[in-house]
Amino acid sequence: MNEQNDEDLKALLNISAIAKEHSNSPLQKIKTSFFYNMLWTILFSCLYLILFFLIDFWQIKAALAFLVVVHILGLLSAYKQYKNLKPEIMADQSVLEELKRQHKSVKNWMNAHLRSGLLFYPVSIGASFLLGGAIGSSGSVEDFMSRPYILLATIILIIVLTPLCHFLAKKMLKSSFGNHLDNLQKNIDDLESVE
Amino acid sequence: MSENRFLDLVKENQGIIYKLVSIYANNADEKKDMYQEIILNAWKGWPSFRGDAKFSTWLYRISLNTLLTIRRKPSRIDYTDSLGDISAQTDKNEIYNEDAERLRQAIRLLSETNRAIISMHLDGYENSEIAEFMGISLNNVSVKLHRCKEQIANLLKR
Repeated sequence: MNEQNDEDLKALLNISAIAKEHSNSPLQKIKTSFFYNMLWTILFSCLYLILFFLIDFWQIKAALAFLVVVHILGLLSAYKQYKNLKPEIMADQSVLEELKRQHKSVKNWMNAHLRSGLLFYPVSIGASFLLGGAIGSSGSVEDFMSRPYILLATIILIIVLTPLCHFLAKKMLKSSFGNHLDNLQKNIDDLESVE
Repeated sequence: MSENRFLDLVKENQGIIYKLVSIYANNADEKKDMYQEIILNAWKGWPSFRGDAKFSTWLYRISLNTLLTIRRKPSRIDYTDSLGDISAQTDKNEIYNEDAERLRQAIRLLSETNRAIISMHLDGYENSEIAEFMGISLNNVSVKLHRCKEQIANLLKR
């Protein structure tokens, strides 16, 4: 049986072929996504800082300053998780330990992603609405906010859109990783069950 | 240990990868993905291979850990409880090959974790080694093996 081989397998057995390949494992994808998230976070933080010095409305300056602080905290947290995430298979672990490690890593990342969103969405929605409104009406944020019901509208928007964004993010994560998590959990349950 | 040594050892033991992938892959694309992930994981793990275990055992563990944690595509084919017409897939003159193919088909109908357990058993691993590999108790391995054998025997009778 050990003599059996396969053309697809043979083709992989040279160093240049291995060097060209990239892993499709979910943890590798999450790690890559962390990397790009960090790049985007740095880019957006710079953009917010530029806007901070260009815009005169103190309310928007406050929101932008808050966003920059949230981004920096998010960046530090993402970097810590990025460093700790080990996408490669641990050869010194049993199958059950490896299944649990991978399940926990994906689940932790999903939860962290959703939690950071809950902090980010309200500020983004509020700041976008006020900035858009002020620019659209060619006035200051104070003028825009002094209009009847604008404050109420901002609050309603935040109340409606934050859970909606959270729900959509959850749906997207579930569609991306739900099946994989279910499969890992099924294998964990199968192994732990005594038939 | 050099890159060439790694390749030589994988080539010597490629039957392990071939055999395990053949009981997990549902189609040609999945098979290629599995080969790729196993080779990549082995390659990444190679610097930490200490040599105190046999390379074949180390590769077996890397392969199983990869296959049981790989992300399966939703379009996978779910095998039914029928072995199908395997005569078309095997050489009719080679009874041994046909039996081996029937056994492989039967193993493919087991759950993913049971496929790993029965495969190790057929490769001559002791129950205690299987227990250590899988991270479950010795008693659990014995029970699962017994059930697997029953299931396979029933499938082969059909």
